[in-house]
Parts: sequence; structure tokens; C-alpha cells
Amino acid sequence: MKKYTIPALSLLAIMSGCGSSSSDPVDEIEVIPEVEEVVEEGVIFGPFSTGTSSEPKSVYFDLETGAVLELTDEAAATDSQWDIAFKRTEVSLNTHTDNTVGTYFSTINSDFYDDAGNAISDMFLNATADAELDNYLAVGVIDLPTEDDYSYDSEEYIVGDKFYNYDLTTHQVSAADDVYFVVSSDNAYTKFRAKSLTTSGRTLATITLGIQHQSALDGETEFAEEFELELDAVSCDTGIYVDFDLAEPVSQDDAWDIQLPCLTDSGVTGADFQIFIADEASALVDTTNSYLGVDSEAEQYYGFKSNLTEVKAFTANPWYQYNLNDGHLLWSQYGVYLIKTNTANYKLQVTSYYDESGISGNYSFRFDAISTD
Amino acid sequence: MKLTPLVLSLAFCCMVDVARSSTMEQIVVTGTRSTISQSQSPVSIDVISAVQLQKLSHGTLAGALNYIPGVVAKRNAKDGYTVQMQGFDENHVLILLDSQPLISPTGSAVDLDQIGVVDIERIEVLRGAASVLYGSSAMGGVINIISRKQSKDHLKVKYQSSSYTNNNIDSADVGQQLQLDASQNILGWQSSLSLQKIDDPGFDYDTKTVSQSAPSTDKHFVNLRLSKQFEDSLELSLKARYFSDDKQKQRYVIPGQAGEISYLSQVEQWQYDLGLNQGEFWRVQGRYLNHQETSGDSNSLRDADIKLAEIDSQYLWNISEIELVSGFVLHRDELYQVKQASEEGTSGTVEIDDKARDSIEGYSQLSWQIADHEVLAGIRAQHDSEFGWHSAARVNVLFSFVETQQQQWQLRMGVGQSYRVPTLKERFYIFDHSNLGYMVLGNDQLKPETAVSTNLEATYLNQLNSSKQQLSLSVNAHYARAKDFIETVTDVDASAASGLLISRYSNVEQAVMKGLDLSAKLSLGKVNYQLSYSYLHATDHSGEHLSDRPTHQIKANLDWQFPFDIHGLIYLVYENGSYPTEQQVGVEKDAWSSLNLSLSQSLNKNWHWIAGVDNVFDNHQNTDAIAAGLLDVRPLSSRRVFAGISYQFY
Repeated sequence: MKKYTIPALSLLAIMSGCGSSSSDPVDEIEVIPEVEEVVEEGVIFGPFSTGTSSEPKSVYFDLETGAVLELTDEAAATDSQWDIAFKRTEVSLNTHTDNTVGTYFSTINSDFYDDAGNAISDMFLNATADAELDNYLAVGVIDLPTEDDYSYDSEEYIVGDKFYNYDLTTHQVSAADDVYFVVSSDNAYTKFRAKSLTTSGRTLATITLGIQHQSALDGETEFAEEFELELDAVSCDTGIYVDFDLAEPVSQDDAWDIQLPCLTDSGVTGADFQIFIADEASALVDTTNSYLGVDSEAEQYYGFKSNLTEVKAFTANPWYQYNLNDGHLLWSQYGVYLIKTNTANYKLQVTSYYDESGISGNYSFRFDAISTD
Repeated sequence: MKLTPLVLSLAFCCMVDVARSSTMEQIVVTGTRSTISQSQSPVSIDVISAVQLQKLSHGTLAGALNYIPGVVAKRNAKDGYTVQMQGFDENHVLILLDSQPLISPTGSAVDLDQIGVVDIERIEVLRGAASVLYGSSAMGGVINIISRKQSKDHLKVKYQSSSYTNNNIDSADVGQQLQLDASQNILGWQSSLSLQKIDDPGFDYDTKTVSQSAPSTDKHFVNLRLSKQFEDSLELSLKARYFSDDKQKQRYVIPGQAGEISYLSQVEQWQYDLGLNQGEFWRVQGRYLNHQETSGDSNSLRDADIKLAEIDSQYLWNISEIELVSGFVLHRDELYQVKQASEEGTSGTVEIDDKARDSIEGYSQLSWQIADHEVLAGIRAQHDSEFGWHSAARVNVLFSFVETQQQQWQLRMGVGQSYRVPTLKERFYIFDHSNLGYMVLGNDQLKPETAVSTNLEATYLNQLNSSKQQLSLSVNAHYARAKDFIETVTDVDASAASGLLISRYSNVEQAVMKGLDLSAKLSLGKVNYQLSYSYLHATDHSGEHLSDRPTHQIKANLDWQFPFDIHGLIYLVYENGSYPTEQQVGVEKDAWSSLNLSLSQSLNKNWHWIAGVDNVFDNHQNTDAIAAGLLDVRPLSSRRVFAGISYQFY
């Protein structure tokens, strides 16, 4: 978005007198410039370098001023001015309470993918920033989504509160016994679920876990038969800790794999409705009970995550496809993101990840405010 | 019959054994580290002479070795040329220059396109394990390039031009090659100088696309040699070689930008050799090589500085029918590699931080002549600064049966161990692509790859009506079991800890390679025929076929001398039965053939011309299929017509 001020001619005739005498002074005309702001849409900003693979750096961008803010990562964590940040392939949105930025990915260029969700290489390879300008310009206020459709950067616990269901009408809590969690910890894999639970006030009184264990160290390639482990949280003091290897509750100082923190509410003590995994552990959610075991050689492909995970809104709809022509390059889909800051709405299209020499990590993009007036 | 220097000259002119006095006979050194006639070598050796090389090559060794039966020539990802032998890939075939190693460009094997042909006397090709004599990498075979040692005074210039015809990038593109070859005795020093310039415009199958099929190259070679013969057969030789290569190939448009990304390679290589020998009884050779390379895509260039230093000493004892060759080798490799900085004011990313390895190697090989038969046994021990001690041994036997003066049977059998030392890149590489979720790391705990190979070859020689007519038939069966092949595999713990896909070089792969080579040669004086067939069955530890190796290979040559001293050469190469890699999703073409023709004539003692066509039918790979992840074994090649003329001043 670029704003230009251009002079518009307006004529202001100042009549200095009347009459037709040849000696009358010539009518004096003074040209007064009148400033009119013209917004040119679709101007490409950048490239902005986000460093190298070994030394990446963040670029914090303020959409309102159209400028990069010189911020350290520490300063940016408490800064509300920036809206969107780029760090190599990672795109972040500000989560500051004074400027919680949301995004919605429009359907522009959704035909770059086939029905099965596979990238159609030719569509990516033949697209150019110039050719995709019209698609970008066509996005306007009519395309703005409802508030609920925006996505925000967030953090979530990999298990957290996903092990139970809460009925909003009956206010009853029940075990989500069809949701499984696979935990990687101590060279072993454990699949567990909450089979049943009881509550006491607003706390968790008991919970019965179904546990299937697989020891990679012992060469096991599949989970063993499920066994049940009932945990009593009524006497919870420092938390409930479970070691999957021992298949029993342990103390805080032992090599525990999962933890349920304590909660006292209205004088009732129990466990909170949260399950955390250990710092050195990682886990994934299996909502279809599809994992019979984990191939340790291919563990990195399973998508195991740590206890607390950053969830980037852009990750759900990445702007690029990688290595479409065997050149290890990132190709833009030229999709248009609708971005909502605390003050305005914008549209944004990433046009390139490279500078004119082809150096990677250099973002170019176009963005413009969408007026809702 | 062993050929010591004292009898070497006699061997050429006075060998009374008809079977050994053929005009086809060559002197070879690679199998024994001492001169011996080709037919008497207990280890089978193929030879390309300098004359053949001038007909086959376009200034470098690239492609010329395709002439040799059982050798599979390959064009690699850096547009260099390498060879496979007996199922072993290019990393397991040792390329030597005068029995000492050369430098491999970073991330690749020795590039035959970086070796000029002007001052080459012959090329010896040994198939099978040879680590006992030559150490690391001599697993599938050895290609020993023998440079010219002695030469009459002469001055010769040659010019050759070529065109890729329908695949020219611009229709007027012409490749050019200029050679100058001079030798002069000055104050008792035999001095020789050769200069060579090769300008190749490259080719492109589809000029409408940005990507170019083959790069333009500009190569320069300078070779300078001084040698002097002193009393008691003492000889001192000094050699300096310079090579430069400038390569460029357009590859992609820059996504979202107007520019293009090109593959670039700039290489400068200096080599200095110092040798001192007393006939064949003892010799000391020193070599220092420095290879500086900037290569990669234009948006991601790497600088590599590679050094090799070696002192190789050898002593030869002759006691009656026993010959003992022993040697001692000091070897050092150095490598520094940095990825260039992408922004001014920032430093590059060091990928291999000035690493080095040293080795001390000793070998001994004994050959025992028993009547017409010979037994060869050798052992080598190596101490490496990284992995400590390693050793290899081998035994070869040659049985010769002379039926008549015209007919001779030979049976060669050999069992040998071989090994390949991990490269500095495999040990210390740090390739950081973490922004895309992966890294490739070296492993300083690697140990040498090893193999045990056996070869069994039966040869029948028949001198036909005259000494200029000969029929040669041979059958060679080979079997090798290799283990600890180095591959990149996923490091599960490191991947889990970092959240990245971390691949690390590891000793993991095992392989079994077995095959059969059949060859028939018929020399009728003015017409020579050669037909060969090679079969290969190469599998990994799980029985899966190894990729990128032809199961069947046929080569046929016809060399014809016409009236007016015109020579014609036709050779055909056919390969099929390659298997795709795990990454390839299907097969576009698993067979290919190439037909090459050339004519040459010596008009008089001064003027000589040559003309020909390579790859007559323009068989080449489909780059779209390659891009789609399909196997297409046809080479990145083009029809090329060429014509050249040379003038010999004296």
C-alpha cells in the first residue's frame, strides 16, 4: 500500500474590480494546489531479509505504517505495534493483548491444489506476481470473514484438556475415551486414553487411564495390550504423576511421564482437568486410534510435539510449496490472507521468498488496508 | 616373463614367443607396480592407447572410457564424468595419475572431464579389488592414467571444432578445442609442454524453457615436465600441472522475481610432482595437489579448498623367479568448505572447518614365476589418524597354457580385500537447512567400507595366419561382498531432540555384486573387431537391486583401415536393466544405446585430420521425465559432429 499526494488544480478567481475600462487590471487568477490522497494498491514491499538457516532473524512489520520495526525478539514479545513477523519460513502474528492479530486465508488460488490437496506444480511454477495482481486487487470488504473465522497464534498443551468432554447443556464431564495420546518418553512409546472419570465439585476425583506400552529399547514394534490404571486425585497435594515404564503413580521426584496438577475449588481438592507431559517427552493426538505402534526409525515423521506448543495461524495455510521443480525453492501460491489488527483490516499476499539474486529468506509481499467504511 | 628395465627394450623387439610378440601387446604396470606385458599380467588389464584416446576423446577423458568393456560411464549432478566398474559406483573406483591419487571435487568423485588427454601415453584399466597396491577406493577397479615419460623432440598443434547440431543453444554455437604439444631436449633435460583450451557452449533440448540441459564450459590445461637421466639409470623428473574450469548453466527462474538461478562452477587446480627413481629398482614420488572450487547454484555458492599431499616410495627386489615389490606411503588430505554469505557484512557458514586426515601405509606384494604360471600375493596395512589400523590382502594366480605357437590359454584367479576410507566430508560435513526442517551431518566415528572380491577369468589367444592377426576371447566372472557402505541415515535421537530431520553419514549398507564379462576381439591387421557383453546382479542386504547400474551392457567396436591411410572407427554402446532409486516414482526408460563414428587420416608426416559424429541418433534423457521423478537411464547427452586438424612441425 503506497499513498501519494498529488496536486489537483482548482481555480480561484479573485476579481480585483469591475468595469470594462481598458485600464482595468487583468483579472488575477491564482492556482491553489489541493492535496488529494491516492492509494495505489498492490505495491510490493521488500525484500526483507530474515537471515540464514544458521543465523535466522525476525522481521517485525507494522502494517499501519508499512514499515519494519527494529525490535529484538525480547522486545517484540512485549511490543504491540508490530502486526506480522517473518523468520525464514515461519510467519507469526502479534498476540499482545493490545494488538491480537488474526488472519483468515481466502480462497484465492485454491485451484493450485487438486481435490486430494496435492500441489499442482505447473500452477505454482507459472504464477508470477504481475499475473496474480488482479486476483489480489479483487479482494475487498465483501471478502472479510466474521470475527469467529479468524485464526490467531496461540499456545496449546499437546494433551491438556483434550482427554474429556464437557456437555454444555448438562454441565457434565465425561472421559473422551475415543481420543488417544501417544507419548514418546525414555526410549519408549505409550498410547493412553481416559477411559472413565469421576468429579468432585469442580475437580477431578478419579480417572482411569487405558495404557498401551511399547518399549523401543526391548525391540518392541507395537503397543502391548491395554491395561487400566486408576488414579485417585482426592488426596492430591503436589500433583498426580505417572511413570508409564512402571505403570504406576510415582512421586514428583521420580521419572514421571505425565502429570495432573492439583486443584482446590470451594474447599474441594482434586486434580485439575489438565494433563501435562514431561519436559523431555513429546506426544501426539490420535483421534482415530490408528497407531498400532511407533517405528522408532521414523519417529520424526510422526509429528510428536512437546508439552506446550506454539500454534502459528499461518501454519494451517502456508503461503508456499517447496521443491516443486527439484530446485529446493519455495514457490508462492499467491494466496491472499485477510488480516485483522486492533485498528484495521488488511489483505496480504506473499510474492517472493527471494531477493533479485535468488538469496532465500528475503520476503516480498503486497498488502493494503481494506476500508470497512 | 618379467620385464625389468634392462630387458624392457628387448621385450619389444625380440620376444620369440609368438603369443607374446603380437603387435597388440602393451606394457602395463597397474597390476604389479612393475612393467610387464599386458598378456603376462597376473591381473587382467585393459589398455587405451594415446592414439585411440585421440580418436575417442574431445580433449578430456570424459566419455573415452565408455570404450572399455565392462566400464559404465556416468554423468554426475555436477556435470562431471565418472565411471562404475563391476557394480561399484564412482566412489569405489580409484582414478590414478601415474599410480598416485587425484583430488575429488567436493561432493563428488574424481571428474574425468577435468583430466586433459594431450600428454597421456595410455590408460590402464584394472577391474576388481586393488587396495593392496593402491589403498582406499580401489574396490571396483582402478583406472591408472599413465602420462608420457619419454618423448622424441616434437612440436604439434591441433584445432578441433564441434557442434551439438539440433541441440545447440544458439544455432551458431561452435565448440572449440586447441592443443599445443611440444617436447625438446635442452641441455640434457627432456622438457615437454602441453597447452590445451576447450570451449564448449553446452546444449539445450528445449530452448523455450529457462533451464539449460548442459552447461557451457571453458577449460584450460597446462602441463610442464622436466626430466633428466643420470648415470646408473638414475632419473629425476619434475612436473607441474595447472587446470581451470569455468562452468555455467541456467537452471530456474527465481520464484517471484525477474531473475534466474544458474549453476556455476569455477575450479582451479595446481599439481606438482617430484620423482626420483633408479630404473624400476626403487623410486620415490611426491605429489602436492591443491583444488580450489566455487560451485553451486548462484544463490547458494560454496567455496572449497581441497589439498592432497603424498609421498610414495617403492623398492623392487628380483631374486631368481621371485619379485617383491614393497612400498611406503605418507598421505594427507585437507578440506575446508564454506557456504558463501548471503548478505554483505556477514560471514559465510563453515560447513567443513579445515579438517585433515593423515595416513601411513605400507604394502608388499610378491610374485613368483613358476614356468609359465605366476602366483601373486600381497598385503597392505594402513594407519589412519581417524580410525587407526586397517589392512587388506589378496592372492592372484595366472595359469598359462601354450597349446601351440599360435594358441594360448590363460586362467586368472584372484581373491582380494579392498576398502574405502571415509572422506572428510562424510566425517565432518555440516549442511544446515534447518529452516526447511532438515540437516545433514558428518560422522567422525565412521570406519572404512570394506569388500571381499573374487575374479575368475579365462582367456584364449589365437595368432591367426600372421602375427598381425589375432583372435582373443575372454570370460570373466566376478563376485564381491561389501559391507559398511556409508550412507546418510536418519539420526533418530538427534531428530527427536532438535525437532528437525537430521541425517548423518553412517556405516550401514551391505551389498553383493556379481556378474559376468564376455569379450571377443578379432584383429585382422587392417580391421579390428571387438564385441563385449557384461551382466551384473547387484543387491543390497535385503535383496533389493541397487539402483543406477545397468544389468546388461553390450559394446561393439569396429576399427577399419581404409586405403590412403584413412582410419574409420565405429563403436556402439547399449545398456539396459537399471533399477530406480527409492525416490524415483517410476520408469521412463531403462535402456539406451549410442552409436559413434569417426574418420581420421594422416595426409603426410605433418598433416592429420579427424571428423566424426558422437551419439548419431541423438539418444538422450527426457528432462521432463527426470523432473517428474522417473528413472531415465539415457544420458544427458547430445549428437555432436566434430572435425579437427593437426600439424606436426617436427
